[in-house]
Amino acid sequence: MNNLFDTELKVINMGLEDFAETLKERGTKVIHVRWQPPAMGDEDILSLLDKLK
Amino acid sequence: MALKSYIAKNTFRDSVYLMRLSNTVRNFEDVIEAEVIIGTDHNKKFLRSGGLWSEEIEQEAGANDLIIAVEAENEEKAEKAIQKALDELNKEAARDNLQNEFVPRTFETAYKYMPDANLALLSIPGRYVEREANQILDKGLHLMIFSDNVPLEAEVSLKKKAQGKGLLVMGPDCGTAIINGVPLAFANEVRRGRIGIVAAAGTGLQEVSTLIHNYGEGISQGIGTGGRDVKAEVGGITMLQGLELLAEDNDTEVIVIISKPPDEEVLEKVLDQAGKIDKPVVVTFLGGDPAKIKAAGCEPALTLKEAAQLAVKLAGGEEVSGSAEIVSIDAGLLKQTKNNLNQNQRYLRALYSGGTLAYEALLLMENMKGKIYTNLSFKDAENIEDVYKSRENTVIDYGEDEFTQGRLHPMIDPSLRNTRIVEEAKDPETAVIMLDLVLGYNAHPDPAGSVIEAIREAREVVEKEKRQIVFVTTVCGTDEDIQKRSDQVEKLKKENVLVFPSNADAVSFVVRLLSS
Amino acid sequence: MSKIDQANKKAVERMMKSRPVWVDIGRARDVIPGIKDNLFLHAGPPITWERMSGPLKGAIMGGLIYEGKAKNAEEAEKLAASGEVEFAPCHHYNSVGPMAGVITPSQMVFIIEDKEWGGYTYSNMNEGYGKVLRYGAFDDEVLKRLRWLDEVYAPVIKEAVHLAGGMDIKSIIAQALHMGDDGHNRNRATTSLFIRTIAPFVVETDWGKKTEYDTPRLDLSNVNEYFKGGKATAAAEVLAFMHSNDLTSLNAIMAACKSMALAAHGVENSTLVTTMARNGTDFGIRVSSTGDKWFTAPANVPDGLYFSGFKASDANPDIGDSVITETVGIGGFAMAAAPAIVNFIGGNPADAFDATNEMYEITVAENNNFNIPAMDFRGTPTGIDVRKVVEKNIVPRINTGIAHKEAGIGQVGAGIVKPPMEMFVEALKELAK
Repeated sequence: MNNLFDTELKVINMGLEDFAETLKERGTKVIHVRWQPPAMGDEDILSLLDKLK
Repeated sequence: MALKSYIAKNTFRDSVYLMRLSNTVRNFEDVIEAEVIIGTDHNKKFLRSGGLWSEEIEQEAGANDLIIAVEAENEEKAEKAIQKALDELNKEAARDNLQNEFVPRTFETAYKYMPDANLALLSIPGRYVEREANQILDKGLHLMIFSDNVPLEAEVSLKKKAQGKGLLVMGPDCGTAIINGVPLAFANEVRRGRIGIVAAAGTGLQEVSTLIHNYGEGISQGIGTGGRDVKAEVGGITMLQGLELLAEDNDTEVIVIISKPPDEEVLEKVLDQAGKIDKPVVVTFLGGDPAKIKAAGCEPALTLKEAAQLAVKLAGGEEVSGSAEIVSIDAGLLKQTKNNLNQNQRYLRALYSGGTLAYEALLLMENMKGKIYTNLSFKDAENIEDVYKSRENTVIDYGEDEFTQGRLHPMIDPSLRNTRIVEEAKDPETAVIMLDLVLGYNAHPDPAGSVIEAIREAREVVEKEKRQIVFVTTVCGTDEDIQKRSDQVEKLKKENVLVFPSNADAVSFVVRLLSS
Repeated sequence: MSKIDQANKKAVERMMKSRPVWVDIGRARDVIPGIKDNLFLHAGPPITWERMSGPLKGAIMGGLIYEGKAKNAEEAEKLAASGEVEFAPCHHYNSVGPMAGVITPSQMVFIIEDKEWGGYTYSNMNEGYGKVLRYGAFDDEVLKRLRWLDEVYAPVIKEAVHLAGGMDIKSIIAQALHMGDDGHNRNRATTSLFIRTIAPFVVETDWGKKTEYDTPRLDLSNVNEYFKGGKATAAAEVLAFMHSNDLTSLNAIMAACKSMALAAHGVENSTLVTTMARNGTDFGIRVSSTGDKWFTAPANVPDGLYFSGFKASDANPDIGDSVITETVGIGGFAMAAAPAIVNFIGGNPADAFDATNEMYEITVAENNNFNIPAMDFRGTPTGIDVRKVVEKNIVPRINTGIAHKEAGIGQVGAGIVKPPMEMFVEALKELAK
C-alpha cells in the first residue's frame, strides 16, 4: 500500500472551507477548492459532458 | 570540443530571464560555454566575438528568434545540453509562487498547484461525490469523504477502485480521522503515540482517541471508514486496508477496532485478519459477541472507555485505575443526587450530538427501569414516534438526518438541543437530562458556555415547581483542543452539572441512579 | 489522452505556432476574396438590418454614404432596409473589426500573412477616439477622416511596411505584455512598439518629403501646434496621428489574433473556441470542429467604468470583434500583465491576478509566446475549451470598450463583459451529436 504514513500530509479540500481553515491554522499544507456543482448540476448537460470525455 | 546551436523560431523571452537561463545551461555538466539569446545582429556579433558562432546562427537566426548555443566536450554532450535547455525553456513555471491568492474552482487546478498532494477531503453534496472522487483517485490521492447521501453502489465502486491502486477511501459519511497526527474534519487534538485506530463509528473514534490521550498515551493513526464499510455489500474494504496499514506501521504497537457489529461475513473477515496481526488488537463491536473476538485471538472491549483503557494497558502505559471495570461510582455522590429527586422523577432524557455515544448509551441501559425510546435503530429499545416528544426514558441522537436536514450539525450549532433541554425540564417525570459535549476542530467554540445558558433556563423552570433536575454530562475532548477540556469541565462544574470522564461512566451512573 | 484532448492539443499548438506578420495594405474589394461592391462587413455573428443596434446601424449608414451609395442618412437608411445591400460578418471573410466593425468595399485594410500556416487575415484602419464610424458616427468630420485614412495614412504605411519587409505582430504582442498591456483594452505599449518599428520606414517613403497633397488635411493641432497650417510632411502627419491614437495598433493586433484563431479552426474533434464576436445585439462563438456554425445568444451589457457624463443606461450591449484577443489568450486572459487598468475590473492588482488565474480553469494550454512576468513568466491561459466552460460554469473574461447605444456618440466607458453561457451549452450539444 501507498506510503501515506511516511510522507507529510498535503490536503486538497473541497467543500466546507472551515476544514481547510483549521488545517491551515495548524500548519498543515492545504489548498481549498471553491467547489460548485459541475454544469450547475444539470443532469442532461452532465451526460453530454461525459460523452465528450 | 564541439559547438552546437539551435534556433527556436519566433520565440520571445525577456532578456533577464534569458541571462538566467544561459547561466543554468552553463552550469549543466560537461558544458564549457553557453548562451541563450535573441538573434539580433548585435547579439550575433557578441556570439561571434565570444567564439560561440556557427553558420546556422548567421543564416537562420533573426531578431525574433531565440538562439541556444552550446560548447561542450563532444557533439553528443552539446546536443544533450541543448535538449535540456529547451526543456527548461518550455517548462511550465514553478507552481509554488503561482497561486497568488487564487482559490481554485476545481480539483484539477488545485492539483496543478499542489502536485504532491496525498489526500483529498470531500464535503460536497453526496450525488457529486463519485464523479469527483474518481478523478481524485486517478491522480493517486487518498480520500476522506465527509459527505453523506452517497449511493451505496458508488461507495463500493470507489473503494474497489482505490483498493486496486493501493489507496484508502475513508467514508462516505466519515466525520473524523487523524492521519500522521493531523486531525481531519471533526477531530480532536491528541498526542501522537503508539496506538492505531480503525473506526467505522465517528464519535467512537473521537471518544477512544481522546480517552487514550487523557490516560497519557497517544495515537499513531486514526482511520475512519464510514459506517457502511462493515456492511456485506462493501465488505469492509477500508477496514481491512486500515488493519493492513496499521499492521505494517512501525509506529503502531497496539491496534483498536471500533464499530457497531459488522455484517456476519465482514465480521469474520475482519477478525480473521486482525487475529493474524502480530500486535495486540483490541476490538469493540458495540453490542457484538465478545466470545468470537476472543476466539480470533483479539481482546474484546465492551465499551469505548474499556477499549481505550485496554489499549493503553497493552501499549505498556501506566495502568489506568479500575481499568477493565466499566462502573466505578462514588456511592456518596449517588446518594446525594438521589435525594434531590422526588418520586415522580423517574426517567432519563438523553440528548446526544454524537451518534456512537448515543448508541453506546443504549447498550449500557439493560438495567434501566421503564421502557427506552430512541430515534436510533436499536434492538432492545422502542422506536420513538415523534422525535420531538420524549416518552419514559428517551435517547435522542441530534446528529440524525431528521435534525440535520438544512441545518448545521448539533456539534456546531447546539441551539435545537438547547431548546429541547428546557422542554424536558418542564416534564415532571424527568429526573436526569444527559448531554454529551464534543470538542475539537470545527465543533462549537464553547459548547459548555452554550449549554449552560439552556441549563440555567431549565433550572428556573423546575425551581418554580420546587423540583430539581440532575444534569449529567460527558465532555469528549482533550486539553489540547481549542476549547480546552479542563476549562469546559470547570464551567460545567461551577453550574453544579455532573461531569464524567467518559460516556460509559456517565451512563453507568445514571443507570444506577434511576434503577436503585 | 482522449481523442478530444488530443485534438485540442493539436489545435492549440497550431494556434500558438501561427506567425502573423503584417505584410501589406490593400483595398478591401481588391484583396479580400469574395468582397463585392454591395457587400458590407460588420462585427459579430450574422444579423439582419432590423435587429441591428444603434451603433451598428449608424456605421452601416455611414459606410453607404462613404461609398457614395447614399447622399444622406435618410437615403442610407432606406437603402440598408431595402435588401439591395448585403451584410455579412467580417469573420466570414477572415477579417475582424473593432466595435461596429464595418468594413466597406473601398476601404483600405491591413493584410496579415500567417508565415507558418499560410493564408491571410484582414482588418481596417483605426480612426482614433471621439466621433468615429465604428461607434456609428458619420458626420462630415468622420467621413473626412476616413478619406484621409484611405488616401494618405494607408498608402504611407503600405509603402513603409514594404520597405521594412513586414512587421512581426506576435513579437510586438509578446513584448507589450511585459510593458503593461493586456493586448485588448490597453494598447499603449503595442502602439508604441508599432510606431517605433515602422517610423524609420515612414520617413523613408516618398511621402517623407511631401508637404502638399490633394486629400483634405486632418487637424492635428491637438497633437502639437506645429501641425497647424499644413506645413508638415505627410509622413510626419501620419506619425503624429499614430501618436495621438493609442488604438493605432489594435486593428493589426486583432487581425494577427484572427490569424492565430484561424490556425486552430477545423481540427476534427476539437472543442476549442476559435471565434468569439459580438454585433451589438448577439454574442456568437464558433468552435474548431463544428465548421462555420455560429452559436449565438443575446449580448450582455458590459460592466465597467464610465467616462464623465455617461452612465450604465447609456451603454449598448456588447459589440465588436476585438474579443478575438481573448480567443487566443490575451486581453482579459492576460489581465495580470496590465495592472495599470485594473480599475476597469474592480480596482486592485489582486483582481487582475484572479482574472487571469480563473481563465486557466477553462483553457487547455499556457501560451509559449505570451507570458506574464509578475506570474513568474507563466504563459497566458490559451485555448478555450467549451467543455470546461460549461462544466465549471466559468465564462471567458472579456475586457472591452463600451459603446453608446445611440449611433454616433462614441465610446462611453470600458470594463468587462460576460459572454452568455447559453452559447457554450448550445455548442456543447452540437459537439455531442
